[in-house]
Amino acid sequence: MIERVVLVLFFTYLVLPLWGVVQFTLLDGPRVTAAHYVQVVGDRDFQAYIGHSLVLAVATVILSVALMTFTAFWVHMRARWLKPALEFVALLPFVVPAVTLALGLIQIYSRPPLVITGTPQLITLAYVVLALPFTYRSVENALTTIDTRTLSEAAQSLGAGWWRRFLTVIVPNLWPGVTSAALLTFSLVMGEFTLALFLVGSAYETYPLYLNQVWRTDPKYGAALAILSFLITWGSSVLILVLSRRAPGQVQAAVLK
Amino acid sequence: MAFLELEGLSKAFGRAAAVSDVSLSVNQGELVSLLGPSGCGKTTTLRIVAGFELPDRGRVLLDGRDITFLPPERRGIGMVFQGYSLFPNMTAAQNIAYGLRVAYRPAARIRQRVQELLDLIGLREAADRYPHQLSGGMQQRVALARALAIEPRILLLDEPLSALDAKVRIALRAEIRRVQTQLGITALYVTHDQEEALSLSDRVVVMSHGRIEQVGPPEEVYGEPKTEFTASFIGSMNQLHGTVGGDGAFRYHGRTLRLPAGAKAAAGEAGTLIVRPESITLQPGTGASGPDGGANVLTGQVVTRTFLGPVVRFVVEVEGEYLSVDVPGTQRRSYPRGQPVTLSFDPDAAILMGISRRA
Repeated sequence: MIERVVLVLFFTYLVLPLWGVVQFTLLDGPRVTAAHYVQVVGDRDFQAYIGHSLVLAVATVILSVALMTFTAFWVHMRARWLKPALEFVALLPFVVPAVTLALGLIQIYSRPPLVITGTPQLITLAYVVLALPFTYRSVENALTTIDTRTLSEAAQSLGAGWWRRFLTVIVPNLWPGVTSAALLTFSLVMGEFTLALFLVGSAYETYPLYLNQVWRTDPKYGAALAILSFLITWGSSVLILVLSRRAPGQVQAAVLK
Repeated sequence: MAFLELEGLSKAFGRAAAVSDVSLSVNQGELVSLLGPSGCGKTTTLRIVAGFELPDRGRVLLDGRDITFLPPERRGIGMVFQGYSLFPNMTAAQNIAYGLRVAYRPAARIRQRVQELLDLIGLREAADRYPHQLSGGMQQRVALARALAIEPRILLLDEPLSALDAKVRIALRAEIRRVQTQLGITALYVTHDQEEALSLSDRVVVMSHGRIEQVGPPEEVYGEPKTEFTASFIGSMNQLHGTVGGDGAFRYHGRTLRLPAGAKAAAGEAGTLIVRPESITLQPGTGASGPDGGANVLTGQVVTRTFLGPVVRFVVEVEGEYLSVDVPGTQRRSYPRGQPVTLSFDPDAAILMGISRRA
């Protein structure tokens, strides 16, 4: 009984604000209208900016997952003494405020040798850093769940070199961790505002920036866009989950062991 | 020259010496087990042979070639681990095929070889199952097949049965031995289970504190232990501490015992007479003599009785010390606690060791 009450309270807490926003977008005085959602269809800016955000999110997911999976595996197998240092670095984005990170990056990358402020490349790299705590934790947890060392040594005794072991034995069995890292990173980038504002601004406007701008001029339309961005992020998350289920990894295996 | 030669291997982790000056020769087709308690260096020795650890000193020669610094993936070894080493993302058949794929063998040849191995381990029906759908025993059989698939020059087994329950363990150790002799493959087998080592090895290497205590066929290691460690580690042993008297007999708490024939000890030397529980005969009462006049006889009182299945073990207090005596379970006679009994054993069933001149 108590569990049900708690569950109902929990979902009310989550859904009520969303429902409020949905109502706000659908009601025009006493009239119910879908006009604000129809408006999106013809909105060229919406398409461009959501495209920007998706490109950044996908690029960040690929880059950070690839980088961190390999690094975490390498440290796990060959350089255990580096682990505390890696844990510390991975927590830094939680400690350093986004504004500080943005200003630091601008300072460094607005003068030679590397002038890349205002480019999608820079913000992708910044997002990789921002996503570190999520990617590292997820991958590291997966590495400790499976017996990484034994699996790697078994493959090695069968003649497999470093890359082969990593790609055919380790990565497929880290799949649950890799998936959750990808999900967290994806939703992080889709909703990120501060770094986008400072690092690219209008040069490569992202969806949250556009949302902020619309909200000021047309709150109802802004609210409709917010609801849509929720749906898009959720839809993409489900897509990632479905795709990862179809990957060769036996997801339950690591758990059942 | 032996097929596998370990020459003076030493390895320390930090300050702790894991392996000290281990030398061993293994002949082609032989199954040699490394036996000892945990921390005795047996696994480290195996991992040096596999290439997962580099020795601080010494060499590993396989078929006359120095492989000490050859990376594991180029040694052509097959290794079976303690457990959970099957790739969870691959079926049994894919696991077995892994080494062959890595070596880029033709697909048809791989399929045929996987079938052969599934037949060898009797798991044809499990080919398409994932590891988590297999029992522990089946997983280890697949692991064995996977190690054998690449036709390794030597098979290394690192406590492959220790995670399994007793019944499966006994069945599987017989199977490992069958497969090993059938293929005539050279094997090095690490275990802490003396029964396992004795039952499946051609020779047993007893290790303690990183050193080899004794190497020999199972019967020899069991029947003629060379050191007190071997004697106490392999099976149960009673140790009678005493001195050798002027008449060449052994003095144990004022009693005189005959030494085994050929025991080399001079009068006045201290030593330990080692007797296995199954070598001692028990009789009720303290007045009884041995089965013949030549037996060593002691008297005492029964302290505990433990039923062990094939045998019943009695602990008897003799001169303030506790001795174990095994009586066949088929023998109907029982001895209640406190019952005075006579223990007798053939002098030649005992071993004299640990001789030292009394200071």
